[in-house]
Amino acid sequence: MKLQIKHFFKTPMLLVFVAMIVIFAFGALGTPAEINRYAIVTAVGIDLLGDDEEVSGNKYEISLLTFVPVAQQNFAERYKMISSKGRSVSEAMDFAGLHIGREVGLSHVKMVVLNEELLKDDVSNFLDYLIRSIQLSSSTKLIATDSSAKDFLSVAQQLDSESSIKVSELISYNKNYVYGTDSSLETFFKGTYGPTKVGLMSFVSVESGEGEGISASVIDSQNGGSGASGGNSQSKESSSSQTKEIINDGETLVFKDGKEVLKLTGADVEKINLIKGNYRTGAIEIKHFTDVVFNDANLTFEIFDQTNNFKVKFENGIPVIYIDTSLTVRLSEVENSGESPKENIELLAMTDEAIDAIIKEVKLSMSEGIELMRENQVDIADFYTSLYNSNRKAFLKFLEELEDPESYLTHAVFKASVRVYSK
Amino acid sequence: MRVLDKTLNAWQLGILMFVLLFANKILVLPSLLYEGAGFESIFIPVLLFLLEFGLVFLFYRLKTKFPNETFAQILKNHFGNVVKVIIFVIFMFFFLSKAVLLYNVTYIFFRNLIYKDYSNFLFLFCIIPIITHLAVCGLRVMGRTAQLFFPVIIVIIAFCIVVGFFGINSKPLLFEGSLSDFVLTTLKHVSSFGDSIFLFLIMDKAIVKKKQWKIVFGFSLISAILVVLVTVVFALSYTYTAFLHPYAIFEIMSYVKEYGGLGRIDIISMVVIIIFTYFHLAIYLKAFMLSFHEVFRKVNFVYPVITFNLIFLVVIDFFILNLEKAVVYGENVLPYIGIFPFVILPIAVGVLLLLKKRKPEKKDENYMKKSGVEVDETKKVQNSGGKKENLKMTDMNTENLNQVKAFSNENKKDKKFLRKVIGRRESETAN
Repeated sequence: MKLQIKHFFKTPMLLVFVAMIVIFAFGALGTPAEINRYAIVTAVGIDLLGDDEEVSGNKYEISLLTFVPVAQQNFAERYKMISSKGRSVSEAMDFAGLHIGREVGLSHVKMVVLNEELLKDDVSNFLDYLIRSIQLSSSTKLIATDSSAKDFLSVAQQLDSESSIKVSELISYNKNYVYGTDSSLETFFKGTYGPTKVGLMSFVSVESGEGEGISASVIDSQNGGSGASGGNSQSKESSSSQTKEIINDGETLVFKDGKEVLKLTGADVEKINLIKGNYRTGAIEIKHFTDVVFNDANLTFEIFDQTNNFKVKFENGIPVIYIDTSLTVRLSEVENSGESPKENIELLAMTDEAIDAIIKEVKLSMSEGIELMRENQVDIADFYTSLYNSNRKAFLKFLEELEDPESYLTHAVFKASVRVYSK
Repeated sequence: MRVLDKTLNAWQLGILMFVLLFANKILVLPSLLYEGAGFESIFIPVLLFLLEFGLVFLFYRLKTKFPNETFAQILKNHFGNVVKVIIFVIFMFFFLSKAVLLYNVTYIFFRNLIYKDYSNFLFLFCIIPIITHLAVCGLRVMGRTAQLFFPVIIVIIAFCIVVGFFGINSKPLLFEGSLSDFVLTTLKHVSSFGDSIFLFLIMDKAIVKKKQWKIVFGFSLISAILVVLVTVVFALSYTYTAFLHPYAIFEIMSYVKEYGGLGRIDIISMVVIIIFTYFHLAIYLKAFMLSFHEVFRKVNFVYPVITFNLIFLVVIDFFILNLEKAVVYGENVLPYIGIFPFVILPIAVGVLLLLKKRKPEKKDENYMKKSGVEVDETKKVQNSGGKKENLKMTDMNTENLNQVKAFSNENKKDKKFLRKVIGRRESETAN
């Protein structure tokens, strides 16, 4: 025993180890649980205050959907909404912490909701705080809405508690399976700081009554106040229950230099996706199609795979962009005006007429998409990088010769070739 | 009392080289490089690694020419004591300066991400005793511990890089930055490289057989490839937004976690950063201790340790405890010390290699001395007329005997040479 004690005191690392345990163990025991120290925020909403509010110096109102842990036997996540106002987003965040008495923890934020009013200003100004926050994941979804962000979060909160449907998941679904719009903080900033200065953001509207979206009963608050009164929107007086619904139909806002310039519908997004390529979503509809199998039929082909290759050649100083598209499609729906075809659609070989009709439809959609980008001078498909990387000198010379270098899409020539394969 | 370092074999040396070449280049460097030179920044590590390999090759040549001498002895024999002391003072300054930057960057990283309420004192408390222990225990202990952790390190890094490829979704503009930007950024970050000069300090302790040099070079090459891959993945994941993401390997993993849906996958990258920081700081401290002993001979090992820790604490506390200051220090102050590994030292070693024309007699004696065979000059004079042996084997401890054996086995010519020398001495005495 004596020897062991001697050995212990002769081994410095053991002493260090014991000292570490003593210091850190007592420190850890004395520290309150993180759940009591941090407000776990899962969604952030930002609204622009009106002129009357601005007199007090406050410019922004932020709403935080915060997870509140409550001991209970059944599994249910409870959320509270906290609102606060401030001259900047960071100041409003500080005040939000003041209302709840906890530090605002942003590590679990899944979405940031922006009111449409804000989008008239340079978005990057107030998103700057969020993108620079090391806690916030760069893959946080960005959502623009026509109602106030606070209302949006109220509906989202109710939707979650009623049906466990999360709005951030609607956006992820859109990205993966429907329109392919990637609306995250990182992709938005990558576009905004990139050569085209174009960023995309999903647009989700909130409407009263039951329509084509997903609805939830929410307690509609009469007052929009917050901050000093405690910040919990659910504690407001004079409130009434109302059904509101969230409509996500693939609308996408296009920003240039941080300002909103265009709102794309789902159909527009599909056209642009055909140009951008490398998607596994979307459908092609051919109306009034007739061949040996079909008679005046409306056919819908589902896109399984799409690969686009861009090739650029400069002819007399003008860039010619060749878009080489390979599509793998499958006939997924038939509306035949006469008798329905008796063959198994799965095994049906596509006729040359059908392939030609698809190619024609794809080319038409592509030309419409390009025209949309030309009219609004937004290079959503990032042709700039392809042009620059193909022949830097020729492209820079081409830009110099233009009166408005931003209009390079208008002066470039596009040629598309489409190949269609059946799955 | 000096710490008696035992020898390192090729594998241990290779792993230490891996740590040296990799550790301080995966956190803030890729982001700073991208900010300075755009996408072409991926070529900067390639260029600087070529210079680094030049240093390793110079070490190899020097080691082959002077197999059993220390770098200090070589410098002293050829350039004199003053030059030797100056060079070793620069060595001390070089490793201390780099240790300060490495610690600060790692501390800021962990403070911002996890331990925002913990003071620098607690961080130091966790780091200083361990790195001191590793450095004091000697090279072989450090090498063996690194050997133990190496599989974990390599698996994590490979995982980070492979997973990082899933996050790539950018088309960068090629050759956007100017040549001057590229050169300026390269010069600004030259001090992040050059750690392989540590090899010169452990020249006599590195026992690498002729055929085993490929192990050392192999580990160095793997390390270089991995650094370049991390830089490429980062540049392609954060094209145009690199300035918003300062911590490369962590950012790669945190960007991927949403795509892969793998929860807090980014914690894996933190593990590798912690392990690397410990080893790298321990190597810096060891390098400082070895240099200190060459400058102030016959001092107890406690002095260099205390000196290093004191200066280290003063510098980190008074100058750099935020990322902005650390970056200014790393980009504007440290580049000047890059002159040492990439200019001064190669010139010195180049001259040494050219001057390597020794007289056979002197060569014989030097060789024997370093092999553990000591020539007793006094006895030789006393017995000059007699028939007695004037050769005496003294102080041939196990370590030296092993060195002689290792060297002799490595090269049969040298074995013959040794016999020839002993024979010649015997015949001279007989005459």
